[in-house]
Amino acid sequence: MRAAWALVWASLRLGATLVLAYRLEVVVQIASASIVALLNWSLWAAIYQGRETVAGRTAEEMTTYVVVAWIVTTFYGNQLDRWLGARFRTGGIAVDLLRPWSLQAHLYLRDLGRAGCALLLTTLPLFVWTQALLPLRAPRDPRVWAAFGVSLLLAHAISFGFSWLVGVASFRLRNAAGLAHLKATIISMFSGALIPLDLYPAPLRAVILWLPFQGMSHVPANIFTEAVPVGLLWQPLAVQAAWGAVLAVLGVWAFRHATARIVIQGG
Amino acid sequence: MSGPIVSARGLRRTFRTFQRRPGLLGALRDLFAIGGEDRVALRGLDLDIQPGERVGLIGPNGAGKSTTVKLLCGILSPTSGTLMVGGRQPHRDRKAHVRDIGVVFGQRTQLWWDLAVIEAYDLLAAIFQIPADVYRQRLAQFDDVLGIGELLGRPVRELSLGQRMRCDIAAALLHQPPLLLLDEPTIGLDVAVKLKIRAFIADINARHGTTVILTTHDLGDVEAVCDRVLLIHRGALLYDGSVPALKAQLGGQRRLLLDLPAPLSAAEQGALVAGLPAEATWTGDQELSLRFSPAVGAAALIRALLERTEIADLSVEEPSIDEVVARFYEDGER
Repeated sequence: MRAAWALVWASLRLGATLVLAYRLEVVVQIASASIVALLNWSLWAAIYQGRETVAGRTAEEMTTYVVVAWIVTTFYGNQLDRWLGARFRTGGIAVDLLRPWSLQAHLYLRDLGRAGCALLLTTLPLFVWTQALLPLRAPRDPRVWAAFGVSLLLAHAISFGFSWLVGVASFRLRNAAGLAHLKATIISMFSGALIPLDLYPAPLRAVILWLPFQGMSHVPANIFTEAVPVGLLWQPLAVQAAWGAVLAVLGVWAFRHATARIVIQGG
Repeated sequence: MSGPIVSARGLRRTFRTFQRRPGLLGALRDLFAIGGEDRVALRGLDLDIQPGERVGLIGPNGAGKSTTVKLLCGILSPTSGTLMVGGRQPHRDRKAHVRDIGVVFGQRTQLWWDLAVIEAYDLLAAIFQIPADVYRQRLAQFDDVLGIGELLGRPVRELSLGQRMRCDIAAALLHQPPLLLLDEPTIGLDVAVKLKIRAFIADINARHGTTVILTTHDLGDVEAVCDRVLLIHRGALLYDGSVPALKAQLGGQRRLLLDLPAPLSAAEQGALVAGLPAEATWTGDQELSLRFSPAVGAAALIRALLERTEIADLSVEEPSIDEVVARFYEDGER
């Protein structure tokens, strides 16, 4: 048991340390996320000129939704699929397999360490300045805040699940840059980060709301804008958790298959 | 544990290689069906290594050395045959296995590129649960031999190759594994660093009885560190034995170099070497090189010479293992 905790702690710490190794990156991320959040906000502020509601939401709700949906990407967003692909291409994966850990669990925790750091250095500052300077509305109910926190954690697990699967696919495909790109495109379409999911036509929306992607930006943003009644908060969280678990199990299975025939490239 | 620490029976590994067809048309055809072909990297290796042995794995590029090391690490699965390391199948039981081995790849670092060396060591200490006092003591000991103390605060990406290699070797040994695997640990290093690393490996082996398996192209590594050498060629074991025995088996000839006090005429030269159990080559009118087999012995040869002439200076050259191995490779090519 102590051995397991030592590995958990080491993995979390590594993720955090790697973020801190590039402090300039943090500044760049805040700047670029601020710009996109601001763009989304001004676009929706313009759309609401002279209208009360769009897709059943008030201007205040919608602008809060789009800003939050984007800001949370700085928490769950990872480059693990590309990193794993590169790691495999250069043979560096050999070194990662020489540690007494499950690579999947290690990288999950490592990215959680990264996300924890990003929360303090990037995501929270973004929340603070957007709340202070834009006419947005933060929830008052602590239960909503708690659910929002849980949904962030689960959004991260889903995001990790996809990156891991694409990264592992690169073991077999030898190059998964195309797949990584496809993944990014699908996620930005169906996660709610760019397009509020309420805007999709009803039949399509019904499908999208059962897909795993909506658990990344839509669920946290929806909870934050208090679009989910407090009594029903468990529902989107349960869907998120289910998808996180499904992706994790798929990841274990895919990795087992990939390593059975893994080829370490390079001499 | 009694018995061999490494035991391989019929260990075989093949790789599927994909032949890309040339040209645009070829590339289009490759989209649908890729022509594949199995390349044999290791064809049925039988091998036992006892605890505490220092084994050198040599062979030309593509011989199967790195494949062997990767199999020993458990990061590559055998195509057929069995491999047991410390009573486990490395590939099946990777997580337990890697606690008992230390690995150094000369071509890549196992430290985290963006972290300071000490941060990487702290992480490894956490991963392998090394108690704090033991950890400090080992770092101090490694610093004594490898001189890594002043490198600890620097990010790995800023280290020179020699500095990085010293840090990498220390990293592989922090958890004091019973088996140390080194894949070309001295590649690209200058002589001073090579000597340091050889001394360190010998020291670790002597102190802790660590089994050492290293691959190299530098036969100096083998002569300095190893008591046993395995020569691999085209995925098969060509030789297994001690370094002196390898030289002897290949008719390794020693060489006696003589300086005579005065020049000799052609007739005198012929008379001097007539009937000696050696092959004479005159490199000048008073310089002589004699090749003789180890069975003759340098002392007997010198005694015979002193009965015939005076000698100004002499030296004995041992056969270089490079020559020996080069001949082995060429024989293999034929």
